[in-house]
Amino acid sequence: MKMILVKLLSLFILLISTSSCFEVIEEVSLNKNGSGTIELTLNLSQSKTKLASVMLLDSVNGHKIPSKTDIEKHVLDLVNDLKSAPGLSNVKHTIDFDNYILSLRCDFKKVENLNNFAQQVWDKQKVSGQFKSYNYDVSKMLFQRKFDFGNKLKESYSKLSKDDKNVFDNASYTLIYRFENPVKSFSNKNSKLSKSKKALMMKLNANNFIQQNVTIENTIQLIQ
Amino acid sequence: MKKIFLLPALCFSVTIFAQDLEKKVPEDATIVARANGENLLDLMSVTELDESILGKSLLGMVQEQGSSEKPSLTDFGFNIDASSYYYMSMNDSVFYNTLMIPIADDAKMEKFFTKIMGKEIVQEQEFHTFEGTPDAPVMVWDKKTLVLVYPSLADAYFKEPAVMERYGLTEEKTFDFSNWGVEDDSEDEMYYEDETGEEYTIQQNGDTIKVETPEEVEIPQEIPSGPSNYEIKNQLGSAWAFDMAKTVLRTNPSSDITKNKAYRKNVDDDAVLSLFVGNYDIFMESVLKNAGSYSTMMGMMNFGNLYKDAASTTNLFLNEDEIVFESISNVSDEIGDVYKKVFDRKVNNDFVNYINEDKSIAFFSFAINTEEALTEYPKLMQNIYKDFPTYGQEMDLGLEAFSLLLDEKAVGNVIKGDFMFLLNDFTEQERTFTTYDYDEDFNYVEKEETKKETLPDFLLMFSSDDTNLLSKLVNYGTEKGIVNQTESYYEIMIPESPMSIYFAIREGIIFLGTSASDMKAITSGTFVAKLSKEHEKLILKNKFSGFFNPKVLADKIPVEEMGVSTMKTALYFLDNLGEITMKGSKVCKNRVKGEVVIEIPEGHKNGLKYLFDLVENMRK
Repeated sequence: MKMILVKLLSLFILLISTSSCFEVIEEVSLNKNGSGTIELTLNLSQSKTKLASVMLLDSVNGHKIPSKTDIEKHVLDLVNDLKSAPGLSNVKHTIDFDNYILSLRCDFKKVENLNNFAQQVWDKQKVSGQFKSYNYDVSKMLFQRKFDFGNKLKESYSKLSKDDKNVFDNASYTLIYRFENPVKSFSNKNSKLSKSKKALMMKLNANNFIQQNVTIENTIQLIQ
Repeated sequence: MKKIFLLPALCFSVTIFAQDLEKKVPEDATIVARANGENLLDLMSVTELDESILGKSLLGMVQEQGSSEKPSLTDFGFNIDASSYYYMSMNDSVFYNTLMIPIADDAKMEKFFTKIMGKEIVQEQEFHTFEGTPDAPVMVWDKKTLVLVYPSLADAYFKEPAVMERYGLTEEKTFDFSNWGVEDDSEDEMYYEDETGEEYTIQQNGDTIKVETPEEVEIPQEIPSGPSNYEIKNQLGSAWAFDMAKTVLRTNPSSDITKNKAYRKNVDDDAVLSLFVGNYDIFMESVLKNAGSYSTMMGMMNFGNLYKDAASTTNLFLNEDEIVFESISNVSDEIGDVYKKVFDRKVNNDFVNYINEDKSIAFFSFAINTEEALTEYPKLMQNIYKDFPTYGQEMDLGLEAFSLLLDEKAVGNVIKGDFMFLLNDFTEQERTFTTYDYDEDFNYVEKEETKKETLPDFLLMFSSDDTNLLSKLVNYGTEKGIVNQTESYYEIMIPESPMSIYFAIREGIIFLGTSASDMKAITSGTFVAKLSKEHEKLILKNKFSGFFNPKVLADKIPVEEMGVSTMKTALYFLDNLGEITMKGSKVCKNRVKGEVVIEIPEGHKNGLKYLFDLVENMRK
């Protein structure tokens, strides 16, 4: 009876609740030798009322809603895959179902290993392709962030219903890169250099990113 | 052939000379639908219908290419001013779905159908039909009436051996539910053959097992050819439908539907559309008998008492100031007695003291006698399931045990059975969320921010004569941390709930809602109620009632924030919909009446024009 009431209430809230909003943060801390740490954070806290409602339903707009256990299992599978991936270590994750924040963090030996991380994450999301998103030339101290999706994201987005597309309207994608040495130059004009000159940040609207109105590609030259 | 199904649309939009086909509907028809052309034309003229979106889309089919002459719905040749009928009749082998549309000008009608069907018209005895082998649904007509018959064959009949032999049908493999749950002791025979066809060895757990080659099986060299079961049945159905259509045109049944007491009493001549379902018991028996794979199992359910003498009628009235859906159900004496006991409860008079209709978007109330419902329900179920295969006895025992273990009177005291639900508002509530603060080196820390969210505000009330159990539950919940007492009311701590839920007990009423301020006002006796006499009567005089104010809902939904594209159309619809009231009467002479009334907003001449305007504006 209690759950029926809560489910009905959830459906009601879902019908009238405001549009979704989320933020993704990709933070890479790179050492001189090319090793470092990556942390991915998915923060759905702004939509937590809606998500709490959605989680109590079986499906919404024809999309099956996974249970908390399903989500935990999915993340744990990914973590286990990352733990066995070459060059990755100290893999940690947190899932906060009160605020709907998920984070994934690990250390990498070389930037090439970072590509393994990206590959594993996208494989788990059933996104096909070879991802070599990161490149670092130790001798030249040149860091590159590439965008490997081509038109895939844009094409997938175009297939979504209008209501599903709205989910991305207020979403943001933040990229932060930290280095031991100061940044000499960077190619992406949407990047912002920190006061210490040792960090770069890009905060993009998810919709603009998907539509390729803005790019996350960046070539960063560090002072040797 | 699909174009034939445009006919129902046409029969609601065309007619000119009064002429009634009611006498052609047999008394034992199980479903009868009537579109009253005369009433429709009283609401909208043919010219107005021609100019409507529906009219224009239909007329597009008869518009001659390059012709500047404007066609009219009368060009279809149907008699728009008379009633069209659909009815379903049946025998042991087939369900006939028959549509009868009166004709005003058969030459125009034939011209229209020749164009859309692309077939020549031929004379069949004293009637007309299309050339070629009749194909379901069949169409036959004379100068006055078009009859369309769609047959639906009764599967159970065609499974009888004598019938199969008569029509040359072959056995079809189906899953037999009659053996469901019964273990099959026969062992599966499996044969393995190697490429030479002599012997085959398989490895199993490291052992080699020799399997003998099976004896040769004679395979017939020629597979018998001939029409398939589907083709045979299709031809039979079409031939029967053809005969049926001719019979309908040729004669009237010895006893027509107007002799049916429930039909005569309940189908209203002022209605624009009426739907009558009679002979429920015969209809249900036939449907269950032919319900595909479930037929064996479902056929063993005994619905006889439940549907005996049952009939239901729905009338649609499109009046000047309101649209009314009226539903009347007739039940058997036995079910009537059950209904009388179960609905022997009135809504608590005190509920109205907690309604403020200035705030309310909608309310619903209903009242049943919980004690009687718990007593009567197992009896009904026992009757239905007593002959159920395999588990019939167990179900019977289970229901008996349910009745024995349950103290219906005690439950009836705790939850009497009257409920009132109020959707009071959509209120903006401040909700916190986590985001990040970045320092000058882009190190970030979590921070809490707030935003406004619109959430529904509801109140549910139900009566109780014994609140002791609930008080004990509250004490238990408080000890376990599920219930939190706040002044004179309580908060239920449900982690899964996206919002707070409060409850209170006062003067034999349990209140459950989302507004802490309402709970405080209710328990302190300071709640300000406001309810019109009309709505008070609606709640207190009916077993079921409902009220919905679409305009208030449209005003309160934060559409811009929602960002849901379809919501804008829905909001337009809500904004242009009048107030809706619903009510269900008590059982009187084995008859229950329900009604949904939609008020027509100002600026519309009648219900039909209002509906056409609404659809046209929503399409813009």
